Amino acid sequence: MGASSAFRILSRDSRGNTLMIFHDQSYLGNLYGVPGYFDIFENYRIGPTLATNPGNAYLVPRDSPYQSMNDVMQAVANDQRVRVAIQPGGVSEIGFSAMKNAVRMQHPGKQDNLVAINTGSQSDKNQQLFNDQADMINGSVQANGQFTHLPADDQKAMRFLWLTANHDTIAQAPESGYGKTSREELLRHVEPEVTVAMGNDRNFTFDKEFFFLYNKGMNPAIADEIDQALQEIYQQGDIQKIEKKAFFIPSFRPSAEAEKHLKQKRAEYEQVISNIQ
Amino acid sequence: MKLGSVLIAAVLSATTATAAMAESGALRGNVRIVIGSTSTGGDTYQISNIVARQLKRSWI
Repeated sequence: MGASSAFRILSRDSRGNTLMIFHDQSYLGNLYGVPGYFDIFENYRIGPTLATNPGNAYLVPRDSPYQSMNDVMQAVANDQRVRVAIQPGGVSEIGFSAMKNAVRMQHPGKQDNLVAINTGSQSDKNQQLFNDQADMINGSVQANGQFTHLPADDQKAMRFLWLTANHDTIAQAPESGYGKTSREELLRHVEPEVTVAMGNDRNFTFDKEFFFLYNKGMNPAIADEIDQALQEIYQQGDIQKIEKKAFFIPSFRPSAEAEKHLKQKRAEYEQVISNIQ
Repeated sequence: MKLGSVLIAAVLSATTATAAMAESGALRGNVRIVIGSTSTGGDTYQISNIVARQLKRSWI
């Protein structure tokens, strides 16, 4: 497991010469109880956020009976089994957990009709769909967009049903979107067009954000230096262009703000996960 | 530790970017950035590479 090795290496160097960059998996792995993941807020110092990968998605086969997330919810409410291929224990699972939580709220007692098919890599998840072993898969705009542009009679043709990113995040993507999928099309798959309920009047969203993690014992002056250097870099403005060109959405927050933001995200997702256990 | 060495190797190319830096500040010497992924084709590597290059430029 790459992450646990990286955490161990970071824990061994308090001089500040080893830094780590990772994303929400760092605390989601801990929330899901994956071995090798610990509480990042207790064991590390949180550095600035850098960018969002807006591509996290759920897809169905092109000829699926489900035209919308509502259709999926209705099917589950009507005791149809909907099988979703995910990689358990983090980013790939959190949207599935959110769907299950929404079913729990809107159709109590029907949660078990939404079934996780636990697999590994993206190609494994795709294969579950091609083999009709899954009705929906977790994927991404980057990895799966090409399948959504295949001819309808192609066995591998897919459709996006839901992108977990915030509307405002996708709205900042380049107009051309990614590959053959325009921003306009991507916006049709995020809230408020597609909603997965999280509370009484709130929808679930998930932005996959990258940020620095530091050794807990690192000199705080180094954290300040990195904050300041990045502040200047983001003010200067080149990095935003480079990030967007690679389909990342810039999301710089200095350390203190980043820590507060990420703690808030963790609290929300902790609630979702505990609701369905 | 095979995974560990793959990881560091993956990270070293991003890290060479931040090598000679910060002679005056609190942070001295070479810096390596480790990532929570063993893949050099993935998004974590990609964003780390972008950020490392920008930091290198600003620190030299």
